[in-house]
Amino acid sequence: MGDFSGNFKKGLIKSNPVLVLLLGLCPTLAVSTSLDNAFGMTAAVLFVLISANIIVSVIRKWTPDRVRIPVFIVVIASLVTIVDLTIQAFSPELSASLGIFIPLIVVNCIILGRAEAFASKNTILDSTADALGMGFGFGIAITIISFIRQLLGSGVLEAFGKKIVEVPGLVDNPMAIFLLPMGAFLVIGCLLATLRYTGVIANE
Amino acid sequence: MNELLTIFFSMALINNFVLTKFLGLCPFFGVSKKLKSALSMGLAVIVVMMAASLVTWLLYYQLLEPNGVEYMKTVIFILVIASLVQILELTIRRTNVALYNALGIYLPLITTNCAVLGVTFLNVQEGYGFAETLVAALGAGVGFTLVLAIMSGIRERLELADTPKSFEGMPVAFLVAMLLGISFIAFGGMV
Amino acid sequence: MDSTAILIIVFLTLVGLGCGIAIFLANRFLPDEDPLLKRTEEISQYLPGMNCGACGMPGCFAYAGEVAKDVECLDKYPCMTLQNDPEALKGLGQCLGLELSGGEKKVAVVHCAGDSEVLFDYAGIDSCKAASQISAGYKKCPYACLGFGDCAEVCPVNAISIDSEKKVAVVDPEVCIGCGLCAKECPQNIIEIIPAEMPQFLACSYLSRKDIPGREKCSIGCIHCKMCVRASEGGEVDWDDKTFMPLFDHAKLLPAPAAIDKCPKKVILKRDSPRWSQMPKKERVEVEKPAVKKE
Repeated sequence: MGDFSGNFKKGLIKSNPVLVLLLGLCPTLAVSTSLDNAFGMTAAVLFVLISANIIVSVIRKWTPDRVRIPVFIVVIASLVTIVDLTIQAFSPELSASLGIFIPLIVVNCIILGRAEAFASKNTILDSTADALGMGFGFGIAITIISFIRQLLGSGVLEAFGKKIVEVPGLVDNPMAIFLLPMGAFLVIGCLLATLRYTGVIANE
Repeated sequence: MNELLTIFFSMALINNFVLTKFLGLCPFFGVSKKLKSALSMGLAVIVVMMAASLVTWLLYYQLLEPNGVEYMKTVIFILVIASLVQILELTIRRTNVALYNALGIYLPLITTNCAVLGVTFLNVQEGYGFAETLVAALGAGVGFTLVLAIMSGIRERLELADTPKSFEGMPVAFLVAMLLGISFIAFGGMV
Repeated sequence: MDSTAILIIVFLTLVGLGCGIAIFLANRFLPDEDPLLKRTEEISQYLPGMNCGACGMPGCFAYAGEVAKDVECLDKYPCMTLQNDPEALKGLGQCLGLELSGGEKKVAVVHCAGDSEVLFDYAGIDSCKAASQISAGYKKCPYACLGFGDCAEVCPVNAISIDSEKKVAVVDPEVCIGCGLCAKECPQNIIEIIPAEMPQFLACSYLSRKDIPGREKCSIGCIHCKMCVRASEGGEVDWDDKTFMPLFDHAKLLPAPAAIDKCPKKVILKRDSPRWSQMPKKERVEVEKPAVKKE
């Protein structure tokens, strides 16, 4: 049957897709300028990841080996189109701020990688657990990075339109570099180093 | 002509795909530390980008837009790119075995390279014409190759440097990318 | 069915077909695959993948290509790591359909015991190649090992360590695979590749018969007295008239305990217990090298 909680937990920290496996860096760094973006991206990726893993696990016995990658890609691309149209309809601001990174979920290495490496070889339940773990792991990583970048880069922490924290000194003189692309590299580099130093992640 | 040059330099340097737009990060950080492999990979990416832009531009404006199904572009574009990469892999395998061996696993990974899909999306988003699409793809590819070459050269040297244990490998590569990004801001004054 | 749905299905089918046809045409009209490519890939699985170049080929994949073309290549240009790995040999033999057995095991020896005094303070580049350019080295013996570790750098298996006190290179016979890269690298030409079964070797390279003024041999250097030849009754030790030094036959591999005993300078050393490895292990300095990574 497999180990549901084991498969789920390993994606959270030990095999965190962004911080350990270093997959899916593009959306993580690009959209992590605010917590709203982070939550939106996580929701989209979770939906696609779970659905893709389930579908691939269901059809795995009937896909010929030679065409399995194109088949997975078409499945994932269709799911991403659904997500894209849904976000455009229900939340145009999110769609505008996430930009082309929503359709780019289709080439997110996490999704194709898990479909290829795990879902095509395991049962539906295991694949779902794996997808949940990986998706939430991705969510944890992107939330931490957005938290740091938004707090230091603009002085306020906002989520769902409500202000959570406002740091008085930083609001007037925010460290703008954190909102720029180079700030993203800085944050994730130092974050990785800190996590390795404190032993949370294995020192590779 | 002026406009084409602007597009080229914008894609290659000012809005560099890797450092500013965050596209193509996986091969950028995972690239082999040898300069030669980086250049071969870059060349392959340029070829795929230009061919993909050409075919997807045709498909979008001849097939998808007139029939109101623009949202199909996600599926169609990625199918086109996957097939092009497959054809490129076949071509290299049949004609130049040494190059095929040098590229190794990186060739099929061009399919999942966000930069390639990204440039096709950008082309339709900006509403480029035919010549502009090709120039944009060329610029994006050249910019990608340039940064890839610089990064692989730096990584070669980093191997021998004395980095703190926690920073070894990826974290210091991220910091190097940050510094590269800062230096590329200087190109903003070009336009 | 809704017309948009039909449109979508039609387009997907069309594009899918188009891509399939394009790949099919490419497959058909491209030049044929090199017939040996698949075989080369199979063979290269059994090779170490270190790309050390000891075989003379530019890398393991190139070596696999040569073997795929002509199996004799395995004997003409042996890959020493492969020859010392019985499992890989078996696998490769199965792949090629041949019975493969490792060739004669060879190891490297450094013909120097490192006891020479220092002639002058060398402050140049830390490399044997550089040091050997300045009047045949900074040690009194012009044929001495200079101990900067050029040989240790090229060794693909990290078998060479440098004794930092005596400034001499020491080869670990257990680890050495006998590839010969160190022998090519040594600027003093004092590393030799000999059969692993050879029981003794001469730890000196002072070729001149008389002392060169100002460049004397070290305290244990060979004095060309021929005692070893006289002591060996069974003819185990020959004399090399060109170098005025004892010659051990690599084909016969005869042990010569009498010669080892009678040598007044004790410069003939037993193969499996070189004098300096009798030092406690911690006194031997290992040259720090990153482990060889598979690309």
